[in-house]
Amino acid sequence: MTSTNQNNRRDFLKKGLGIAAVAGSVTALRAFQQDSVELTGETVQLLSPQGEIVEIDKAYLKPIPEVHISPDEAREGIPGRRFVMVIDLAQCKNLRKCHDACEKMHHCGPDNEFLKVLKMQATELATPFWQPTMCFHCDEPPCVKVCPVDATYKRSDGIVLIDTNRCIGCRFCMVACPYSARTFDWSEPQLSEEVKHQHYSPETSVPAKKGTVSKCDFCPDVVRKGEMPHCVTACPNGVFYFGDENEDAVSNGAETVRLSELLRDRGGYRFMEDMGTKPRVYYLPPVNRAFPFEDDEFTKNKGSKS
Amino acid sequence: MKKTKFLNSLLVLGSLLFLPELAHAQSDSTEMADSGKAETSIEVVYTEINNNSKILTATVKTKIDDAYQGVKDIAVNFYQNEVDPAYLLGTVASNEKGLAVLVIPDGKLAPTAFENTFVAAVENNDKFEDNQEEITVSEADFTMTLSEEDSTRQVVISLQAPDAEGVMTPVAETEIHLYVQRLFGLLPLSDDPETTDENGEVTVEFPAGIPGDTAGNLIIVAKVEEHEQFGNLTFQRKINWGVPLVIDPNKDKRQLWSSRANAPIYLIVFINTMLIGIWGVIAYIIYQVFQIKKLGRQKTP
Amino acid sequence: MKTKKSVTLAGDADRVETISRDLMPKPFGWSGKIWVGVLSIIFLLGLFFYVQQVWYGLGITAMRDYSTWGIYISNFVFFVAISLVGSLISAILKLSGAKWRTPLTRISEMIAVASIIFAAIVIIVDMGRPDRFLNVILHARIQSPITWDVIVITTYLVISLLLFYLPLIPDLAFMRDRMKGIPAWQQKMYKILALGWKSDPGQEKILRRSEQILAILIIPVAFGIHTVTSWLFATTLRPGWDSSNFGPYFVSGAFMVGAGGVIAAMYIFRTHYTNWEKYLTDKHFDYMGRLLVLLSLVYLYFNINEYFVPAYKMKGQEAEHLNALFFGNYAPLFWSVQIFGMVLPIVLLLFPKGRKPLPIFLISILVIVGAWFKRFLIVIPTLSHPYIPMDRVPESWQHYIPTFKEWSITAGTLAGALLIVTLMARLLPAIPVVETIEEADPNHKAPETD
Repeated sequence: MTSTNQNNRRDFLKKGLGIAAVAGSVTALRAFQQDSVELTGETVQLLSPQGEIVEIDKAYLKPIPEVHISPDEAREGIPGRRFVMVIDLAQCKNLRKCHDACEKMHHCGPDNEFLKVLKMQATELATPFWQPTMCFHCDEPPCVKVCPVDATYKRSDGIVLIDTNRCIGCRFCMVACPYSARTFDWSEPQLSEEVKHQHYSPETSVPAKKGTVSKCDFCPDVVRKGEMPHCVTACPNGVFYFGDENEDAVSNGAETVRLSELLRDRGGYRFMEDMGTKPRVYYLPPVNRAFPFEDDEFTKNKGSKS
Repeated sequence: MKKTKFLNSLLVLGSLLFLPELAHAQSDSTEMADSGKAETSIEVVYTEINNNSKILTATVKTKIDDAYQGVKDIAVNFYQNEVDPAYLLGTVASNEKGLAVLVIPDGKLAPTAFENTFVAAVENNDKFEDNQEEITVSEADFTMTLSEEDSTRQVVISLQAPDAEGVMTPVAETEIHLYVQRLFGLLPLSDDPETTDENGEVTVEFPAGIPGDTAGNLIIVAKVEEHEQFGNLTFQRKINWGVPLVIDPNKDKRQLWSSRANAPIYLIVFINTMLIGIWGVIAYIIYQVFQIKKLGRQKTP
Repeated sequence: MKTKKSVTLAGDADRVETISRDLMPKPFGWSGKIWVGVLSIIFLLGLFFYVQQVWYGLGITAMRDYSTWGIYISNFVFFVAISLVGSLISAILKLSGAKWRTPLTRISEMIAVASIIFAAIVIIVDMGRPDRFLNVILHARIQSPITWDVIVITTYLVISLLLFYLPLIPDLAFMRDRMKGIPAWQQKMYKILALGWKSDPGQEKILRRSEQILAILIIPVAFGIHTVTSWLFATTLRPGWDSSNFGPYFVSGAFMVGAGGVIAAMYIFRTHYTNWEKYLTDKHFDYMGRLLVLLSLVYLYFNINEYFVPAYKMKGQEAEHLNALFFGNYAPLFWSVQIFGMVLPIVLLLFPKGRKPLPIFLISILVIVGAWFKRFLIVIPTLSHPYIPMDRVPESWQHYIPTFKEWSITAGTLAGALLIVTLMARLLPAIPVVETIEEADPNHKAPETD
């Protein structure tokens, strides 16, 4: 009984984000945590999205165990979703909270940045601006095309992932990516013991492995729980919008807007469109900026380019 | 079966937790207590969904490095009226964000006169000082009616609350927010909230072109937010007013960026033809090499 | 039909004796021992550092996230390039009926086999996870140019080995029958590999036919191997690589360095072994010199296409790349390679004196060294000019300067390839003995090719 329950629960989680969205809140119900399902006789009423009241035994209110998505399972996208990101360059002032949160959550360290915030300048006369870049999860990914062993792949939900258990470290994908989004573990990664022994999943990109490629993964592990990627939630200026293209909606945490309207009204574009890679990350141009551009200690003495 | 429903209902809960701002009451204390235990701040939010599910959310934070951070795994006791074991509604441990959520079990509430006071308390904790925070909300009847006539889709919201005599009367001049539930938040149907008229009603035309799921279903959410009298009221209905999502599993199936199993046919044909052709010749040559050996064994000169 | 029983090598017994004495493999002399010793030391040093690399990861190289391919890859391209000489001499010259090629065939096949083996080894050296090499077969994705490269390298290696082995069979039989006073294992090796060859007309017919088929087969595969290798670069969106000229550009460069490699080897063999100037004559150097000029001119033509056309446009990131090559930090190397590795050899080889053995040997060394660094210039500068700025990365990431260990491993692979050629020449005749004897026969008629 117990084991089938577990399996069912696991199936639900795998089947879709809609259901999995609860995992975050379920941990809040830990007070009811029990080791086996023994009916208590006490029931609680809960509400389903259909508006029905459901009466269930308290015993079922135990937290859903942390779901581990295996490398094979990670190849399937979350059904019915097409994840998309919009980055509002007018709002970015190089606070680098996105970068720090990403680094912390992926344990990737300064030599293996998944996310960069770069000083860009369209032409000499234009004011420079800060541009966060990461893996754009292209719809026609040149990196995936060239992988000889299916280690990096494109999922049905648009996310491009890497299975570092499969990767042979040829680095062809890094060369093929015109956005330099990929990074390589040239030596044994410096990880804490705890992280080192964490169960590996391509959805978390943790722990990193020597001699393999890694990159921004759009945080599908938290997306599965209904939360947005770490860079999105870390940004205090609402620079990052994330959402599902199928729902035509993106959210930056503070507001949820229609994707099509946002791109239409704000002149959304994709980086280096002429590469033909069809990125899933859009930019809103740095016009009507909230604050003036300021160099930081790294860029003060350096030129920039578009 | 029940479990499915349970999980679905938790979805509703889950969506609640992502709301950045909720009606709240907050108790602050920043000084270190004499006992050596750390002090906490508690925020309590009351939410009622579809006039039925009543949910209490407490956020427990403490000051770490001059910044308030959520306290994980702290037991929060929820009471009705006052801190008294007789009125205990439930105990919940907080998550990593310091959030403890209680769905008030049906039948647990003691009958009151149209108004409820709830208390969230941290008590007898090893590391934290005792602290509590309360919130008072009055009852309300918040409903949503959906109608469709001649391709005009209307959402009608009505808000009623008991007056001094306990008779349900319309509540006017109250802001109602209308949304469509999306994966990571609620998409507003209009830029500004609507305000109830003297009948306590709001009528909004539902816009066309909003995507739903594969069946065209979407969830319309009406809210009264941060109301001083009612707290948070939510009403949501699922309806097939969305544009159905069409998923073509064969779209982009065989592409250069597909998996090995879905390689483009022309590549498979071309490469295998080349392989068979060239390696066929190689195999023939190797066979010939053995023929040489065979001839070498036949008759000795 | 051939009726002559040639196992006895009818004709002048003296001539047979002389040729056989000149061309049969001999034990190393002192110079041979030093040569093998030095190569072994370089090879073992490379191996030692490679073990370190397996242990500590590719971090012991200077490659980092931007310059993610380095001299391992350019060295790989060099090996693939020089291996094309096998098809050039054994196939193209054979099919074009150039009879003077006979003494060059085995040398070129030895170079081809040794370099293609090391091309495969170098690719494994460059892998971050060599332990997962089998994934390339188990999980092969045929959409990837690397998979195509694995297929075509394997194919080319097998065909090259056959093209090396088949003409060797009569020589193996000859050594089996004639070499005395050699260790038993060597004798046994010749016996097994000679496949019971007895110049039976049936055997000879099979052999001739098979050689002919292989000579035809190897040409498209040779074009394939280097074209696919060029696609490892040309299928990307990078400045300097994103070029439809890359296939012929690589193939023509490969034939040029291959010819240079054969000339250098010819000269070393000729000076090292007594009496070999009788077989590798000035005429051979002269012809190879003419061939090298032709191949260099073709390569020059593709170079002009490769650099002039984008330089005329000076498009965006391509401009930055070209400026770095023409005027920037890669300019000294770039112009040295173009002038000393291509233009100067063409000019010098136009003069008959330039095609004398010693001058052409020195020129071919220029060509080979130039070709190695040309591959460096094809691979490395492109990666130093990514589309996004290289911000906030350590200084060392922005300029790729290979480490000593990286150079050692690379030198080890070059030494390894030379060792293979040396050991082959130690055990097998580097000039086909039987064929030479037959062709020296005044009554000899070229076997008709069928």
